[in-house]
Amino acid sequence: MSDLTYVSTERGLNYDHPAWKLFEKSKKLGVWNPADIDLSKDRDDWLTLNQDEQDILLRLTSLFTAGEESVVQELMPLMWVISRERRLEEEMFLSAFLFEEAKHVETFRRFVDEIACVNGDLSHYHTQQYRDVFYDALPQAMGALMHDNSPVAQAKASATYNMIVEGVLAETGYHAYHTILTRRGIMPGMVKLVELVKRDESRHLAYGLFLLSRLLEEHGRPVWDVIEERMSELLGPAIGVIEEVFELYDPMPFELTPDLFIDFAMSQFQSRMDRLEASFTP
Amino acid sequence: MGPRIAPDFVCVEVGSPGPGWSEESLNLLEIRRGDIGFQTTGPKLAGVKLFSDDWQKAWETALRSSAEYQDASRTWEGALILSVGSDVRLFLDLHRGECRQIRNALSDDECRFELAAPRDVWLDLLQNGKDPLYLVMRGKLKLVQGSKAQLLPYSKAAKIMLGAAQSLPGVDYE
Repeated sequence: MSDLTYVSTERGLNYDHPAWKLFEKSKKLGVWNPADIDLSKDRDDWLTLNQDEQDILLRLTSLFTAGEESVVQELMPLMWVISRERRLEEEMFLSAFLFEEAKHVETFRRFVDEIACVNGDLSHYHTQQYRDVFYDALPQAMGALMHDNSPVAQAKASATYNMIVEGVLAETGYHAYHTILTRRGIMPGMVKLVELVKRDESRHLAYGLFLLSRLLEEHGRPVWDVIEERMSELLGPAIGVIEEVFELYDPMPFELTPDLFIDFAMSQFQSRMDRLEASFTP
Repeated sequence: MGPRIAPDFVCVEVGSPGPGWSEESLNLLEIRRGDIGFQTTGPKLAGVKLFSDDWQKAWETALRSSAEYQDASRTWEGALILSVGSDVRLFLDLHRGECRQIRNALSDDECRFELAAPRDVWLDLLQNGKDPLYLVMRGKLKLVQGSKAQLLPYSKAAKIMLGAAQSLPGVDYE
């Protein structure tokens, strides 16, 4: 006979669990439909932009679209590990997490299909350092969980997924994108969509911080070392993605400056790492 | 693999370059050994205090003989000052891949960038091999002069530059 048990009937649900609280928020805040947002004014605004302005928005959107697709694809191994460990509240939140990421793919693809109205392959916008992160580092770290579910492997995966991809690249990119559109007063539909995406991502980042904090509390130094090591490996390529964008335009459309990206990325990164370090006494 | 400063570089016989050593790097090391009293054998850097004049010279030599550093910093222009607490300020005269000089900073020295941190953070970098970009992003290594956006593209060069200092043998970190 199988020795399988079911947490929901064996011990019940822990409604005070941090992941459960995030799940509660997802049920209320994460159920918006990307298709409900009207983008007709956005298309009109698009047609008023010059060629470089259109190009950088399409470039950023192509980075976001593939980035969101990659986080949909690569979340599965973490869900599998958490499920195997019978952490039901976390598994339930991760199911909402995955659903939300899937909506984000649709969100940014709508820009391509309905605002820019582009049919061709956009992967030429994926520069070398972007590929280093999204084509190599993220799939490798997450895929490793299928044969190594150790705390160190989980920390490496979460540091890559939550701290670098979501915390440095996605959040910084969305901040800059939102700033471009609101500063110019254009594309109200995309402004609304990016605000909804950012709100979802804040829950995903909160879960990543929870997961890493839990691993640090349970396993200490080896987990901290792998987080620091991973950050040291990937901050260069992550910042490099921003640099690559700026190298391609002269002058930079929308009067964008690298500081807009870098200052935001640094402040967010610092506060999260400080919080993680506080949960671990070397 | 390009020329490198191996941890045991003072043990290499002059005129017999080891794997990965260029003739140029050997020559530079030979000259520098004479400058700071190195012998051709034995770990004569032992006891050289971190940030001392001899240590600065050894680091300068290491950078001058590192093709990897020269390549990574070939577009770099402008001096760099490194502040260690309130006691030490190092002036690095760097220009397009060349390390022209490393010395103690003078009060009227001008620089493009100045990085400052307490001594324990510099030890993390120079003794424990922490990544400089990671420490800048953490806010532990502070950019007190210059633009982050202009500095961060040189994070690889900075890593190689500090790696050369990490590889100096026998340094007294106390």
